[in-house]
Amino acid sequence: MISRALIAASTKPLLLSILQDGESYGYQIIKKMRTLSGGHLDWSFGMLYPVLHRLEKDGLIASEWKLSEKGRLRKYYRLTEAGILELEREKVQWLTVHDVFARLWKKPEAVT
Amino acid sequence: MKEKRRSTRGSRKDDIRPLEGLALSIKPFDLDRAVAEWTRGLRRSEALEDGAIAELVAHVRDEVEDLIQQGRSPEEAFGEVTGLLEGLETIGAEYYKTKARGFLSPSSLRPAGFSIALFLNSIKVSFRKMRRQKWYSLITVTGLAAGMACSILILLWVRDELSYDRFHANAGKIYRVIMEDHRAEGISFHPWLPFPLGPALKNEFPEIAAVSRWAPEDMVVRYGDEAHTENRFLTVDLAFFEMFSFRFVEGSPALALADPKSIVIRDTMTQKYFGEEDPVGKVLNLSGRADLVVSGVVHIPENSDFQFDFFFSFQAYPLFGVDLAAYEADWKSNNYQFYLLLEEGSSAEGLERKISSFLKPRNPDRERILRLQPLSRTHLYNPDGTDGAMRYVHIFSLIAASVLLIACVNFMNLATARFEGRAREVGLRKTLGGSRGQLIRQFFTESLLHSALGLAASLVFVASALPFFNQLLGRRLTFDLAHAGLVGRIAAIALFAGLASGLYPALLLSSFPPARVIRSGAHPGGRSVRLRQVLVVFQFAVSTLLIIGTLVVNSQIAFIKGRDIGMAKNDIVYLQMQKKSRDSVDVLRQELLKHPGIASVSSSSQLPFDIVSWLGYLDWEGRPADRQVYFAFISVDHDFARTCGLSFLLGRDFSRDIPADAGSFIINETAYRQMGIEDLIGRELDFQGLKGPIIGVVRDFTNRHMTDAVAPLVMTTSTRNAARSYLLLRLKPGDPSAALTYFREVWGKINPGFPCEYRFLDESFNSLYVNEGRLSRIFFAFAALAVFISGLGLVGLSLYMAEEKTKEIGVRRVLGASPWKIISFFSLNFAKLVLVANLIAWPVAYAIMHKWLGDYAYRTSIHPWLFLAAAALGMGIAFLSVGYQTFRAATANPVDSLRYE
Repeated sequence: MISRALIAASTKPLLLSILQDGESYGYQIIKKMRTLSGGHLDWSFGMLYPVLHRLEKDGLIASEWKLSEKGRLRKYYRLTEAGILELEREKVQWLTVHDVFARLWKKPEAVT
Repeated sequence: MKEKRRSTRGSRKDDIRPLEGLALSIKPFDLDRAVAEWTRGLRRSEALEDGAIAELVAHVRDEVEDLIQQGRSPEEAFGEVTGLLEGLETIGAEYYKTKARGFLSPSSLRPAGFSIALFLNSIKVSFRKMRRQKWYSLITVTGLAAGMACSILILLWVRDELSYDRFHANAGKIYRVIMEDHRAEGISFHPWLPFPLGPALKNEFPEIAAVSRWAPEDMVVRYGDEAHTENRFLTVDLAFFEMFSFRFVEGSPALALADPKSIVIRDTMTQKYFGEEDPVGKVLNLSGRADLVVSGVVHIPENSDFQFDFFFSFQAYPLFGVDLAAYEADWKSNNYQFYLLLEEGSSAEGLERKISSFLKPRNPDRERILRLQPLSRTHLYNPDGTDGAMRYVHIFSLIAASVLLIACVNFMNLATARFEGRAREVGLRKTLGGSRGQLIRQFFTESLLHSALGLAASLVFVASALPFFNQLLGRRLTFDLAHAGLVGRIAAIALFAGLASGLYPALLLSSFPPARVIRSGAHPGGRSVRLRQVLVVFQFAVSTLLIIGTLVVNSQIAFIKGRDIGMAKNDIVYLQMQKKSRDSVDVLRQELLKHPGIASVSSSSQLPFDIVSWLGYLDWEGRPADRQVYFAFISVDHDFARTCGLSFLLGRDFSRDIPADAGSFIINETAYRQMGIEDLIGRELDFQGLKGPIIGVVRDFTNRHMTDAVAPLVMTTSTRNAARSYLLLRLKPGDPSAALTYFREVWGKINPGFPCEYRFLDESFNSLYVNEGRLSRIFFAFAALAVFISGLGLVGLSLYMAEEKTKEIGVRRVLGASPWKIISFFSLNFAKLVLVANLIAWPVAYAIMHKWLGDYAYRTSIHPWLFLAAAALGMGIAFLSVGYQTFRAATANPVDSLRYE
């Protein structure tokens, strides 16, 4: 189970990353995350939408109401220019952390 | 998705959802309907923006669809999804969790940017809310409508007051000349000046482009068979119509008075004399003395102080047998006003300095300084520069603003009172990402919407109430919404009301930390309860102030009407006479006294209660060196004291049997006291060269408006200084009709061609106090409005309180409290506030009304019972407003109210 703190910290880069493949809507995002994480990251809508709204307000993503193929209204989110830049910054940070962990955990025996 | 109703068999016992809206149902499951119900539930809570709700619904649809594809029945799928979502509380808490960890920055005041959609959404939400809270909205809107109607009416009146004589093209360059007269008893400012002064100033000072003197007159106007006594004559100089821009319906301003024999009449007078005939060129006979030819028809707007019907030039004086040259040489009498027109670019201050001591060489003993008063100030300010009508402009503007604020308070109070209910909504909204700015906007939208509805109602009200208001004020105000300036001001009133109402609730409700509400359900009540009390106190303080104002004005009027004015005014009729009829007074008297219904007949130069002629300082035998008395005078005949019911303090009345009385004087009590000699009777008085003994002292009678003290008065039978133009008839008590018919017959026989237009003395006396009457009615109207709106506010608050305290009342009832005890408990809470309001209002009201009464030389005292009456009235309103709701709650079955909670 992933800790709340980590969920909180990772939500934004994860969302931005999901949207880099193209626009998407709330339920689809949740489902995609569920699939990608093998069920470990099960976002609730109650967490997702406020974050989406906040990101939109910060200008990282933009939204648009569109008709689905079945004729229902859905709100689609996509990355903005600022969002793409933000994602790049996030990537650098996460990769840095990831690299450190990777190095640390690769050779624990060698240290001892 | 056009998912059509898929029904499932039967019903499931776990159909009872935590969310309201999904009711028990035994009907086949209808997904669309279920979703719609669920959505309505979300809407009802007001916690979520419409956009957020739409997104949630889309989400639910997506997930349900997905589950159905995985093999669940629609009912199961829907249950599962919405079950997960739990209630709104959960939704809010879920949303809140994300933010509370500081992952996102706290919401800021930064406005979310304007969008039409957002704006329309705000309006939609506000309307929905108003519909749901019908009673509160009705109270608020009604109050705002009344408050705004009051403000708009006052606005119309103030605009009218401020527009007086501003329409003249030269308005900015016209000045009235004022005399600052230094006398032994003080300085007086007045516009009455010597006849030759105007032209003399114009000759001396090149800054003066034109001058027009003017003096009011009254005449009998005759044209064919029509003859009427007209009081609104104005004699002017030739420049008058060129200085002032009155519109000529016929004729031209430049030429109208060029011929001394010409007369200009007002457009409203043409019908009366000429019917459909063209008035120009027609000859009017004035008082049987001169014939003048109508040379023009002029329109005088309502908002001018020159409310006159006939205008002719001083050049016509010789036609009336007046020696104009003698007038031009008379520097002693101050009987004329005049206006001067400045040359372009000249400074009024500079001219004022130059002319100030112009009168000095002509009368070195007395300090008389000339001053200039701009035309734009003559209507609103007294000659000495103090507030005249302007005082009422200020007072009424202040009252209008207060009444409007009282109405705004209703919105503030009801909005903050329902705070508890909304705190949760606000908390939720904030977690849903609504910024503070958005929230503030929502509250302002609500208050502005209320004020807009109030405005609409108030416009209807103003349009229909204007005739009554005009009657109240004696004005002809118009409500012309085609006027951009007026529309702008009215919009400003509505905007002010909306913003003032919304400001406090918006800031208070939105400043409030969401965590506290959501977690504990605590209410932020403390602050708002206190403020609510302060606001109620404010409302009732203003209402009390107005109530006391009304009571004091009324008691002063009653005092004036009931005061012994030292003379008879009932059963006396009077008639204004012209020269020819004046000469017939002796014959008239003999004839009239033959009728048993006529007690006495007399004539005088002025009406006894409205003496405006001043003689100045007189000398008398044995005058102490330090005594100076500035005398008013009246010319009377021998029967005056008897006819007017004057009584004597000392000495005796004039007698026809004593020929020497033609040169003797009677003075009044005030003069007697000011003259400072006890044994005055028999002493000689020097009446500007006419010397004779003082034979009597009459007890004081009210000889001026009661704002002024009784003037020291000398009465003479000489007509040297003034003609006796008033015929006074004292009738015997009882039905006067026979005597009056007889009067008309005799008059017609002796003065054929002169109309017998008599009036009753008491009516004319009362008309002197018509302004006081208006003031009292206006005060009453405002006070009633203020009390009404404040009462409405209390009704709203008690409505809320009864809702809120249902449980408390129930518990008290169960524990044995009687309904009456409960009613008094809750009413007392409000009564306390009304009491505090009274304690605040009393000293203020006393100070203001004391100052107002200070204008009157004769005034009522401010009785304590007025204050108690105001307090009792306030309490009464409070008990009525609060009592009913509490009564309902207190007499309801306590079991029900407890269950309700």
